[in-house]
Amino acid sequence: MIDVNRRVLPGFRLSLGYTLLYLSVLVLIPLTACFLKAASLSFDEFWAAVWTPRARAAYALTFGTSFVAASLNVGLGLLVAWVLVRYHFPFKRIFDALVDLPFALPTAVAGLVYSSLYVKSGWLGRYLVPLGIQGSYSRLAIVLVLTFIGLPFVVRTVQPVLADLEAEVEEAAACLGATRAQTFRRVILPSLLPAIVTGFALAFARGLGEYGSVVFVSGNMPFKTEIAPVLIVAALEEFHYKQAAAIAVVLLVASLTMLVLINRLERWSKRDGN
Amino acid sequence: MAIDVTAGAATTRRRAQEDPWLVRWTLVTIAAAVMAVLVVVPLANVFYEALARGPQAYWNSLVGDADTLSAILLTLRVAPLAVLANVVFGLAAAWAIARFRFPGRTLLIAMIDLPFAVSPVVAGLIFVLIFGLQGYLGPWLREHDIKIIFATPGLILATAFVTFPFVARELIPLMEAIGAEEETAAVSLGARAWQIFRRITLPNIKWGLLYGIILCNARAMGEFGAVYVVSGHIGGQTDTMPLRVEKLFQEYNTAGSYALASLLSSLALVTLLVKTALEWQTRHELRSRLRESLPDGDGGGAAAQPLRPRVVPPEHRPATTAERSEETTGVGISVKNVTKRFGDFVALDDVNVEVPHGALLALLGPSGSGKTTLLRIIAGLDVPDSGSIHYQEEDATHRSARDRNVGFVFQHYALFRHMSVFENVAFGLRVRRWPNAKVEERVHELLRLVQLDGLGRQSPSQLSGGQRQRVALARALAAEPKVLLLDEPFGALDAKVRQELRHWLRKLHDEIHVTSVFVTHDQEEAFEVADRVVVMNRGRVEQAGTPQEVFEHPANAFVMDFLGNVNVFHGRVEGGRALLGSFEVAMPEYPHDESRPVKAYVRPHELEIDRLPRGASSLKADVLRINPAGSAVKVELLAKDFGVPINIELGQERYAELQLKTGDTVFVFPKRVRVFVQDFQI
Repeated sequence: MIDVNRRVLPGFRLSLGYTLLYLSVLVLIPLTACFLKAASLSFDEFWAAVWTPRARAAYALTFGTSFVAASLNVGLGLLVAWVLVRYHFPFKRIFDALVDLPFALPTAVAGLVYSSLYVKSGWLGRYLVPLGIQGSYSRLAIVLVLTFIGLPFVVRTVQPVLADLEAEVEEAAACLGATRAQTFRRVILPSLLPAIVTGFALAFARGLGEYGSVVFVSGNMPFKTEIAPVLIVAALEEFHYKQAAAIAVVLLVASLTMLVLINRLERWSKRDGN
Repeated sequence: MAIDVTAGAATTRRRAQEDPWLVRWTLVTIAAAVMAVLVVVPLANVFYEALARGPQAYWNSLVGDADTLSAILLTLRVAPLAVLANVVFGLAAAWAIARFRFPGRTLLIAMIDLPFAVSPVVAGLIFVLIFGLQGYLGPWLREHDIKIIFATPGLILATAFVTFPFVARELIPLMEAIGAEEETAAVSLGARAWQIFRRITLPNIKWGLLYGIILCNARAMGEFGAVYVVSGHIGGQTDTMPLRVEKLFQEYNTAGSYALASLLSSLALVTLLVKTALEWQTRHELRSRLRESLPDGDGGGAAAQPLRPRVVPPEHRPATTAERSEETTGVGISVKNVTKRFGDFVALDDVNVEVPHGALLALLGPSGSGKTTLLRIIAGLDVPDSGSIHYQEEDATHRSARDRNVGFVFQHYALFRHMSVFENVAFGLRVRRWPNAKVEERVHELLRLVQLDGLGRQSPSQLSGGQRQRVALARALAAEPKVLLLDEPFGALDAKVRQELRHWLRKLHDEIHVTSVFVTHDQEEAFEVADRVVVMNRGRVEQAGTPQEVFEHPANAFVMDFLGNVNVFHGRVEGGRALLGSFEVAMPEYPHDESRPVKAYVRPHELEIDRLPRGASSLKADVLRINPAGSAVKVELLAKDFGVPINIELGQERYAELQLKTGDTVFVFPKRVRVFVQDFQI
């Protein structure tokens, strides 16, 4: 039924036209400009801009910390979602609402407070630094703040799926003689897997692009704690627009790939869910 | 959105007992510890640091610092503008995507997610590359003295880019879940685009829209990376709140930094509060919507009184256009050579139907036969690929649904959920700008007609299914339509209410005489209510006529089959005789020698039972089951020799006479047989 409604409900041309215009002006044209700018470099120049040792270290750091943080989020998010769906405990509603704080809290605030919590005199640093755990101006600092930023993604994708899981399936497993652990591993986990993967991908993508909080906590030391977006800002500050565009193109391609992947995953998990 | 609102609470409680106490509390404690370290401690730290030097110092570092104050004001300017732009975009995108199908739709949906995947720094950079001094438009902008980058417009652009998915992402699934039924109903009642949006769509999506705005705003106020790149950090001019937090931090002004951070944190907490409240609101609404959509009888609603046909004196009858125009006995609606395809599927294949003026016609057929498509085409809710629709000689094919002045009753009522019964009925009049007094009078008149007077102030959700259906009918009749169209009007009701409403609809039609067409797959319903019946199959009209004609003289095997409750015998025909098991029927219409397969149909009351065979044309059968309840005794038999099950209806007297028991072997005789060779009938 290609256009059952098109002829009946009004406003198709206006709404679609405006949508496309807005997207073009705000997204498509600027993104094209970015690719054009980068294309004005010769291949060698482009390569020189995006593949310096410093840039490679930054990519590795960005991907590495995002990956570790997203993996941590899978474990923590699964736990939080499980507790929220399955158990009743005091202040549960506040607990539930606070899960979304990383969505609502400006990243600069997160960066600010995470940078001071883990220094030697900070609330948590005073216990951790003597143990040799450097939770600020280090790679660990980046992982910590990215874990904070990404926490809601896994929780909020797993939570509804877990809530929709039929009790009968677990009861059936129990009747067939499975232990609780076996039921979890063989019955519950497989049905949560698509949601977990989607949540992981979302947290990972968010980590790749994150800037505000990381610049506060990392110290931005080249080769050590400098993430890829910082390279762009650094290039811009030196008025190297083409180089900035080149690095942006690398990040864009990476994140577009992520977007396609997330889309596929969402479709996969939806099909699986049904 | 698969939110299981009915079962959720109960199952959670039941499952919770499965895990031992120790496991439960260990897990809860660990989760609480994780949340404390990741979320609560940092939040507490912000407020602690901000207020550590006392409220006076706190106040001074916020308002006393001119640059901080201007950063607050700048954010309060930038964020609302970006949100406003994204709300307009979100509404347009949701309308296009949730209400229409078009090529590239999936791609468009994916594009809306782009900002989630693009690093904010890149988002800022792309605007610098276009509008910056060295950018593509830079020289032109400088010539005309327009500043975008390092100025407020750039901040708004960057913020809008980063936050534009939020409203659209919220509205698209919501509008898809709500469906287009109510909006389609509004079109059929004559509403214009703006009226539909303001009176139907907006009230339905208001909570979701607010939710999207809240998220969008939170992100807009807090955006850092994109804004950082385009701002240029001109103190007091282009520093937003988050940028100011960073600058103060770099200047080692920790107190000022934390003070501003605490303000932002408070905003985040307010966001969470509103968000949680809205989630409860929408969940509550979804739940009541779910309850509404459950089929129910006439029991649950307010004051369900039995429907008694009421004689309305002619002078009190609501006038219809049809009645007011001089009595034409001609054709009310004619459908001429209408064809409609959906892709490869032919929904209607050269269909011709005539509805006599003032008649009540039933479109009868199995699902997928095209009857609803035909009804929607008559209403103007669908457009035929070829052919035409005439209302009393007047070509209406190219008139929109809004201008056709039809009353359409939707299968699931499509009542406007946020309006009272009164306002639902009044809708078609309000969009036509009737004066209030007349609206009042007309609505009360109609509520009396459908016997719902006194329920005008109820909301549709408080009514039973049957009552809702009558509201839908009153709403369709309000604007004095030329024709009344009903799509499976009783489909969603239970058997008893259905029966009652059927009689009532017949009575109502006898009173108001508006040319009416209704769709049904229930032959009993069609025969009981309609003046004329059109039987459809696979997009074609199989037969049209009065109920009596169709029942007594089915045009072909399909009609016979579809009318149902019939015994089918397979056999062969040759030389003017049809052989069906051990029956033999004369068939002079087929004198050919070539033998062909035939199907013979015998209705259950057209078969007789006897203990002994009577000549050649009888069939030996065993009694399998007897159901003596009801006016006729239903007997199920099996003709073992041919493996044919047979159903027979006997009169009570004959049954008593025969003294039938299960297991008896008897002989069956047909009183009347209809034999079809292909489309060829005796």
